[in-house]
Amino acid sequence: MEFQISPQQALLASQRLIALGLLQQSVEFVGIRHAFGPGGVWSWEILRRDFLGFPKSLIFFFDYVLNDGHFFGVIILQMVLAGMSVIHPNGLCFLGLFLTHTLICLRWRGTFNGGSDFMTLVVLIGVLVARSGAETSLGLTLGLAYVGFQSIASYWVAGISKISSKYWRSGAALRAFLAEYGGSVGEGWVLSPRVSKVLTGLILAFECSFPLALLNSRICLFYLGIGFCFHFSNSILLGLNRFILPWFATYPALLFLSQFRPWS
Amino acid sequence: MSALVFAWLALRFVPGIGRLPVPGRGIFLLRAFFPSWKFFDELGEVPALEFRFAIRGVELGPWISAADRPRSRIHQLLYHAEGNLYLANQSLLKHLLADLAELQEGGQVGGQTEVQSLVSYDLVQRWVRQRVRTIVLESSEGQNELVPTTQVDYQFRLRSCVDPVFLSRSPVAASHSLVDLEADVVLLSGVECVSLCSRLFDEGGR
Repeated sequence: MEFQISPQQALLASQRLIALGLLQQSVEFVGIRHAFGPGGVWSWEILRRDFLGFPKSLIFFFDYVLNDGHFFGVIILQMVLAGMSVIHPNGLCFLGLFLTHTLICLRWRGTFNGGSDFMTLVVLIGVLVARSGAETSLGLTLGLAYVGFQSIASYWVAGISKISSKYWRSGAALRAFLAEYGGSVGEGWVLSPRVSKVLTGLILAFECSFPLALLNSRICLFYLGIGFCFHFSNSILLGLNRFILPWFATYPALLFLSQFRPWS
Repeated sequence: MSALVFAWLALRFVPGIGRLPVPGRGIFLLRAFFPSWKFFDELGEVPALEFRFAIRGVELGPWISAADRPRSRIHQLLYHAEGNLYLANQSLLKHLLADLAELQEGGQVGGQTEVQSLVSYDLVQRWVRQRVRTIVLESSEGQNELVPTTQVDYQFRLRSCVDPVFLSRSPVAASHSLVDLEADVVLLSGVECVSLCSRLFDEGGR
């Protein structure tokens, strides 16, 4: 029996998952406020020099919102909006989350954590597109399609770029990245070249074949299950916990796309 | 609202329709809008920030690593703030490496002013100052003698290390010093009240 998800259900699930992700990110920012608050390393007094090429009105706005004192308010605002969106997703909250997330990325010189910020923004844009056109199935489909295709691209491009590297094909790259990013957990059992090569092969096969998830919902669920394990492993071994929820937030869109047949 | 969102998408995805008035630096700051899905595809240099300092003109101490990777914890699935901050700081070091390489391509690597004008350099220097201040304050705890000012000289360097996994296969040196960045003189005062002031690097000094 095929798993069925309506576009409205997919949108609701994506919204709640990304809101949860933004809530997690906000809580973590509160935990490191020493880094961007008064006296912190990431001082606005220094960072604002990056913004001097912007129009004066924008610089004035950034000086007010992103300074060491007020930036914490942006974090708290994001936390509140995210919490509200988990309970009751609505367009205004998501517009607010889009703005706070963009400001936070700007404050950290583009992104705080790279990939997780990219995907968070992708999902937020997709949600806004879907919500803005929610009265028509076209807008909803477009928004979910944007999220779904970016999710597929994230796995496939990552796989293709790795498979062309001889260090990845030999398994050496996995050991190297675990040594660089992994803590006491990551430096353990994967040091064996044979195990590393097998695991590398599995990772490359998963990532490069990910577009097959669109064939039908059963295959899609299979890939999402592997993706679930993949991201959890990355979180434990490499400390990349921020990747989990933004990528999970794309999964409802993928499920919807796997069953979407516009010609039927 | 629909019109605004679709207009943004048009600007984002369809070349030639419109160009936002964003300065070159703006593309760097707005790169979250242009996702790159190439994760962990390249191996190579791992930047390491080290510093050393001397209190009251004593000889400079040994090099100390500025950032230690936080230990893995079971709760890092849900909450890993310090770990993510560590990763962000590592990115900052990579940005500094990239900025220095850009200066080098422009033939400006010998210019102290050009290096000191980099935002990434200033952030890294601030980081080092914080570490130095913390260590000095911690080492002076419990001392009853009031010290009106404590002069601390410090140096920091960014080492670019070849990935250790490849050392067994390659004759390339384990690490090389990319650049030694000699720093300002930092004045710290008292135990209760820490104030920080600096003067420009003296060309005749260290």
